[in-house]
Amino acid sequence: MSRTATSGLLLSVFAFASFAPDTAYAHLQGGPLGGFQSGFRHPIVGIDHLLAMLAVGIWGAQMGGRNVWTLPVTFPLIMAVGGILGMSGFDLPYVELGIACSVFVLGLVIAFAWKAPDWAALLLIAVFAIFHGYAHGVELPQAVDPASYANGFVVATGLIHIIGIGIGLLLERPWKGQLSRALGAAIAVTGLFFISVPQLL
Amino acid sequence: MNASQHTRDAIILAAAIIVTGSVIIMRLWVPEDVASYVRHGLLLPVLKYSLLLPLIACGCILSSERPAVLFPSLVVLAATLWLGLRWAEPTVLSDQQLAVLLVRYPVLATTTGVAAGCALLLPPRARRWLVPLVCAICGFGLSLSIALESPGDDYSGWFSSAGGLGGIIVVIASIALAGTVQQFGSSAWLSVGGRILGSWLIAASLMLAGSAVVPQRPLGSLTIPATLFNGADLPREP
Repeated sequence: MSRTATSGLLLSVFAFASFAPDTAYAHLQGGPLGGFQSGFRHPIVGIDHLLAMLAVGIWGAQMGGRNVWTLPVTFPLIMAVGGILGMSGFDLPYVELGIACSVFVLGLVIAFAWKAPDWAALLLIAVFAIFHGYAHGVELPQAVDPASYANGFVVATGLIHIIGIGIGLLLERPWKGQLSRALGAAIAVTGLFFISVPQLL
Repeated sequence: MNASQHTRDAIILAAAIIVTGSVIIMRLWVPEDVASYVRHGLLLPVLKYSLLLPLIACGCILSSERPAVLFPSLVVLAATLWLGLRWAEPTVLSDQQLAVLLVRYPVLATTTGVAAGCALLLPPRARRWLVPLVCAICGFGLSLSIALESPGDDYSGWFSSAGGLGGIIVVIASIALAGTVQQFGSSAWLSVGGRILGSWLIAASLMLAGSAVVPQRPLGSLTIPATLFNGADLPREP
């Protein structure tokens, strides 16, 4: 972008911001089941969700090629299906175990740098995404503003994937990817810990 | 990035002049009570995430298009926004049942989200013909949402017009942002980011549609499934 256009853009943004109202909209308020902010916080404050989603991005970056985007794209789409199951009151068994296993298994595949066939990687991601989506979806019908809540946690999920892809790409080059594999091993150990101490979830 | 540097710069400069001019006019000549509606209308597309994400998606899609597609699509977006605002007043707002239906079932947010998300997921060549259609859907959906959010008094026209202008500004800012990101990275990585954004939009829209169909449960009524972990029985609330 040229310097003139950048100046124009900055000027308009400044003008737009200077004209902003002093009051905020009610649906932006936070809280345990509020709008965007509480939806955004949900995947981030849960260490099990956070690690699994980071692992999806790291694994995609580790495998390379189309997998860099197919895995992070598949995860939220299938997560939405799990979310609808959760909202509908469907009794999905072993939800927390499924989430803990997702951390463990995704950590393992990174640790062993498993170059899975596309269909196998997508299937694995899809199964785990159902559990993560279910856990989010159970809370959605109670949210003050379901639209903002859903947008918040889907955006947070995507951002964690992007950070995961960044970490994966960053760690792929030094020491021939050993750092990435070590991180995967650490994630797997954490997952194993979650499986053995379910009270933490 | 197919849209040329000059084209993008021209769009951004035109938007900057319009916004800055509007702000000066509002400051100098418009009474404070009307200006308040304009301020809230302008910020509505920014503060309402179900509107914001599809508009950002529109901007990202348009940023990768040639001027031959970019300009007509921007015109379609503006035209459908205007048409929707004109149509909303006599139809949606006068038909309470339709208005309630649109608010109760988030048809607008779901349709715009899925349309913009699917367009982002498609390869650029495949989506070229869909871009004007997606802009039309987003423009119309945005204008109806603005009308439904309108305060509904004598100044609602100011609110609606400002909401439409806010929507266009978001799209143009997204085109500029995507263009700026493009200069620091490759188009392949922008495409990855776009596809991830597309998946967000579709997932959020599906969740939103699901939450509307599923009956709302009051706070505190959530019960933990007995088989949450390892099938172990958990104490139930009395």
